[in-house]
Amino acid sequence: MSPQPRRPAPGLPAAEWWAPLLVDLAALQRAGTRHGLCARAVDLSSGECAAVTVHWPGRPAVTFLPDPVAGREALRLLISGAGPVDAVPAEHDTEFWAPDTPLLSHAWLLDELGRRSDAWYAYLPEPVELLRVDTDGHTVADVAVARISREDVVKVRVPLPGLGSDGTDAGLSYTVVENALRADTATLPRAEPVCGRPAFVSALPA
Amino acid sequence: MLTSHKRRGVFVATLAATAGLLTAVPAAASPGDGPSARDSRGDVEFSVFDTGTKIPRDASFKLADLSGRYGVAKSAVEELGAGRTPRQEASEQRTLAGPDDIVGEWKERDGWNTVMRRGYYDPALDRGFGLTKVDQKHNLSLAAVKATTKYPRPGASGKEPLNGSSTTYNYRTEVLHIKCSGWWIFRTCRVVDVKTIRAGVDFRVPPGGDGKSKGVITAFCEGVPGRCPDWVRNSINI
Repeated sequence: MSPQPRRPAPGLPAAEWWAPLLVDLAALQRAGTRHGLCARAVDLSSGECAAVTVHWPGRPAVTFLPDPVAGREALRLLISGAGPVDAVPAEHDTEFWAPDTPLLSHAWLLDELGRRSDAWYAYLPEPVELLRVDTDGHTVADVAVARISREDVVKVRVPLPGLGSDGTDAGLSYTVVENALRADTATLPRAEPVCGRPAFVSALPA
Repeated sequence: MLTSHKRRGVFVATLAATAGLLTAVPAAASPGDGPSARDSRGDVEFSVFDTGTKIPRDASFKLADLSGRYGVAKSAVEELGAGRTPRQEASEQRTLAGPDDIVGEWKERDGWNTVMRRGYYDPALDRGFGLTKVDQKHNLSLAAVKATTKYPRPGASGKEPLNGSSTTYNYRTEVLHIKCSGWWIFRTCRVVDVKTIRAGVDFRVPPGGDGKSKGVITAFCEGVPGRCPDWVRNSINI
């Protein structure tokens, strides 16, 4: 536990560096859902910059390296250069909105992770780090949590259908990090190593 | 060297002087509340929210100073002086139907309307939000969360946005665990433990609801994913 983020976001000293990026990406994922846009992978493992992979049905996936402090409009320009993205709903930032499709639930999850990055540094007694968020866009998203002192990674598997739809999943970020903290890797299936560290899959109950 | 007689005389004189002092101390209890010999001596433990009154954390202070200098209610200090536990305000009890029911509404530090919803907590799934999670998982109360948002620590770190559009905030404040020993309100006190409470509030408004924000998502003691110590929620000044 630390009272401060591992690396604070510029202008947001209580937020991790990746938090604004995830919130902005969530807004664009929401805006692009009608066209099938899927933010398939967000790689934060460098600890300094993100690699975001998006794809649309029938198009090859594209990976961007967005400036994490450039803001939503810069990210929108980047993504819309590769495929269609609608305008972000005007009420997006003030409405506690509820998704009704798995892709929108993925947007909701990215938003939740970005809004409550205190879960990653102030909540647990041992340090953890968000490495990646991957999704198939239909059934699950994997949130890869590095357990720093144990030198391993727990991929917390979050079911997407219905996620966020009734307003009761608020605070899921805390559930994700605590699930990773308590995961007993001796009983969990192995996953492909993440950043060279052994990785395990821990599924959240639906 | 004092004789036994002289010692008695000194004791009586000291007691008389102390009695005179008591009448001059603003925090002294009224005659009807005077300390009994049995309960007004000995150790007392309690906790207070640090509401910015600068209770010393690395130096001792007198129990009476809590009301005189540090803003704790005089009645609470008198109760402690008499060796009793101050009564906390009873929390509101309402008939509730669902997780979105509002169970508390107040103005936080800057006058922003803040709500606490009933929420829920499912220990099997470790999911939840609102008062039910705050209470059942983190052993905190509505009063504790209110105090955290009304009296966050001074400076920027007391209330900080977590996202760029400033709709989600963290509030932080310290709760001090205090032990005192000695006699009545002249007990000598010191801070023996400090916990920082962090409360997360989401000011976005759910569509189609009551028009008020989602409110408090959770609150916890920093670095403690489970229950805060009882002394945190039992603070005497919330």
